[in-house]
Amino acid sequence: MKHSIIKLASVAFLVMGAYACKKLDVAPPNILTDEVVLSTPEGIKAYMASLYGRLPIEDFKYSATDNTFGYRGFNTWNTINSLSVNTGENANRNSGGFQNPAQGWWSDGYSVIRYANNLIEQLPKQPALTPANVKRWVGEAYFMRAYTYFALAKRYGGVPLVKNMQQYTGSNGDQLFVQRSSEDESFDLIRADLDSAINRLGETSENPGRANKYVAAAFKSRAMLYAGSVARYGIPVSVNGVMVNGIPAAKANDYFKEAYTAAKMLEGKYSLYMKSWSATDKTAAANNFANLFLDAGSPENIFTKGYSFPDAVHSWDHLYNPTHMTQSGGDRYCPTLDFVEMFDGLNKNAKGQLVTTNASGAYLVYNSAAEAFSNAEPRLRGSVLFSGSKHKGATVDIRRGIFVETIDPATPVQKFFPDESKLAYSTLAFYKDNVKESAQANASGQTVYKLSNGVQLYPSGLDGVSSAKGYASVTGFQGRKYLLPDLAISNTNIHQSTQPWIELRYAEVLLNRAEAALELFQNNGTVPGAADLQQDAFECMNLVRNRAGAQLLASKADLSSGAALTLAAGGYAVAPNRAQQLIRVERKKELAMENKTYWDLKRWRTFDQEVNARIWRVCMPFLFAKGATAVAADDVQGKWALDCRYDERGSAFTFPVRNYYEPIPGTEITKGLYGNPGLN
Amino acid sequence: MKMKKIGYAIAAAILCAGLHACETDNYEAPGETLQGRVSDAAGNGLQLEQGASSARIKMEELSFKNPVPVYLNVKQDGSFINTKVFGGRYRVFPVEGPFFPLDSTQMQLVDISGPATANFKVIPYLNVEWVGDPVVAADKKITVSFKFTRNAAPAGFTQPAPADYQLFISTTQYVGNNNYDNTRVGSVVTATAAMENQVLTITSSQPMKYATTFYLRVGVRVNDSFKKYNYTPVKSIVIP
Repeated sequence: MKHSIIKLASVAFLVMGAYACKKLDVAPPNILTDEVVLSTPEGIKAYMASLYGRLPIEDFKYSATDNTFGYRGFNTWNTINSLSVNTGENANRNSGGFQNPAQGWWSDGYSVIRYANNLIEQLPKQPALTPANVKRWVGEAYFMRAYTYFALAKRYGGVPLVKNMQQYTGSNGDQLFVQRSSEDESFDLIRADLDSAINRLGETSENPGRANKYVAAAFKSRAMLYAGSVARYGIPVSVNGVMVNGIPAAKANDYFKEAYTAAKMLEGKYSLYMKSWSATDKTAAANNFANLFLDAGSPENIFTKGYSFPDAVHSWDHLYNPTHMTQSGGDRYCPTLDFVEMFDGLNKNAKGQLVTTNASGAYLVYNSAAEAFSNAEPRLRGSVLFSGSKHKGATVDIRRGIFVETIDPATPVQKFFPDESKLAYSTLAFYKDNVKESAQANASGQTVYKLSNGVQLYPSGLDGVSSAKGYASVTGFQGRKYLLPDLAISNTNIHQSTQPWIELRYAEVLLNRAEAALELFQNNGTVPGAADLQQDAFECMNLVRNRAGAQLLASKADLSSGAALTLAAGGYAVAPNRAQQLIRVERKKELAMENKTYWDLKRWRTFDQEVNARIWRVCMPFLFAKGATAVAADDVQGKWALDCRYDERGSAFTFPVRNYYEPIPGTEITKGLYGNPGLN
Repeated sequence: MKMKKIGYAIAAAILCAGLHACETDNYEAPGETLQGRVSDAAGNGLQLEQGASSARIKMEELSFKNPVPVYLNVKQDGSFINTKVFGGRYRVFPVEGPFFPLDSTQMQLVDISGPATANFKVIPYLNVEWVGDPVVAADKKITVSFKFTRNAAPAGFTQPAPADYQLFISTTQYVGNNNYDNTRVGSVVTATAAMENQVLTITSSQPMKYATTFYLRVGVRVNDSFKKYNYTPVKSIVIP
């Protein structure tokens, strides 16, 4: 025994001591070199798959704050703090203030750029590949490089532009250093790369989820619109003579022209999803809008990202379903009243706010919690579920509390607080005496309220809103977009969802086109071949509004340069003029929960005005116990009142002005990169 | 028995091998002091927010080729002090605040090898002053009056336009945009150049709580790239 240990120890020392004696200069057979991978179409397909997988697509798995595995927000199940909680699209019990997504995402982007540069340089040198294939694949590499540079530029402004495959020899670090370029040079590279991609790519994708000519053009319309807006609305700041933040205003029209032309390329190639749409049936039109996010055969999808069980999954249904329709998680999908009020077809006052009281300030009594929204534009009901909506074979069951049986719905009940009040319900004696609420929303955590006729009711419903604001809806609404309508509740769990993410869809391209056209029209810009840009913007807007079931614009004159409405007068978006305001509201409605609004508000530079110590408004349904019947545990019929108010928690959101850019990561500053003023 | 000993010996050897690089960090802890004040032309300390939210003092240690800046927080009266600074030569200047940016001649090179002082004179965008004292009405809402004036831009700068103003209310003296009771104030009010030198009033949106001391400050800001507030001094009011 003793000997064996000594022997073992000496062998170990020998091995450790001798391992470096001979240089092993043989190519390792388990590592595939460029020559092996890039010489066959199969190898390239695998290379492309890995590269597309790394593209910085802000999908179901993009979080504003999660960095558990070092992905800086990307590729995580935990999207509780999403971009959407900063913009009023969504609110949840976890986010009580602005969630800054600046997580120093940087090196993962440059790694994609390096792989793309490798393809651009190496593919033309492969003798075994056909020229047609090389042309196409290099085009895809340009697309991916542009996509990644855009993700960098929209975060940091001007970034270092690495355009070739750098080779590190061990001592040439200084020569490989690339300083930041200006922001417009960065966007010019994105434009040039996308032009290369458009010229090289074919009309159709090689596989689903890969780029084609129109994917590149659609993306170009997005990127150029971003650049044009930064030029028009941003304040340029230079560091050592390099305009790292902002673009000269004189270049705005150039970028808008590029955006317009690129968007126009898709005309006739893609179309809005209208499979179950109806002009007369609002429910059909609402379902059509909800289905467009789930129908893989949608003609509206331009660029999608797929998932597969069990290797590449997301958790949208787990996190975002009503709490009693998931096995765990849930409840984090609560559109705010500010969001809901943007839609047409609601009873609104002069401030653009939902009216739920009569002229003398008493609550209107509804026959269902959703009645106030039954005439809304179908897009609202395709985006939002209300208390009483059917979903997943169950009923969304949201209420803040129950009026006790002695309160008769036939007798007017005065609104609890004046409109602007931010006080908690618990401060009101009438409320404490006459409303039953619950601190928890789950069935076992509630004290059932029993009516004299034996009917039993949960004070908070099964999906909240609870008085403690835990594990339940916090706004009185439940989101609908992208949720699977027939996934069994028993299967609604973490790491199970595989519905594809639609990164680019035709509605966005139409809105890009309309916005670029308007910007050009209002600023003396012209596009050869486009005679009437205002008319074009009007037609694009109405295409989107028509599908949404929203009120159509009567004529192009509606897109006027007159003064925009203020937020206090139902403007819903800060804008330089009425036409821009209409398009901005349209984008906020159409593209909500798609991780687009956050970047829109940034490029318009209106974020700090719209989200300034802002407390989101909510709409609390209250059930009258008198006369209520329970069809099922989660399906209660009766009379309802809706109380519109500021979020009871008083959570105020402020977008700090300096956050129009993100700080350059410290590891890059020490290498000598210029910082972003105010941040580094 | 013996086998066990050998086992221990091997374990000890591995431990030694593993720990041999652990040397005591004998670099001296930072202990120097830098203090100073940011004031306006008249020498009055600038009204700021406590912390880093309205202005910060930027320090660059010049012995590095690409110094990573270090930032100091400021107090409400524009003064700052840090007693844990590494000795060295620094470029020091206030940034991001509600004043015209400093040019390179106004930045200070400070050799810190003992207690050091760096005072700065800046031109605030706006001067905001109280007009009379805050008033509590019968409904326990607070009304304040104030006015603001704009300072002319130094050569090479344009004067930014006023953006908006707000009454900040807090139960602590550290009242400002970083610390206020948002349930008691309305939304910000748009300010225009025409309001300069006019007496402006704001009223709290809610009645104030009884038997409480509230601290008040009015902030006005301009439309520059940072949008930080210029403030009045803090006033307190006791609600009976």
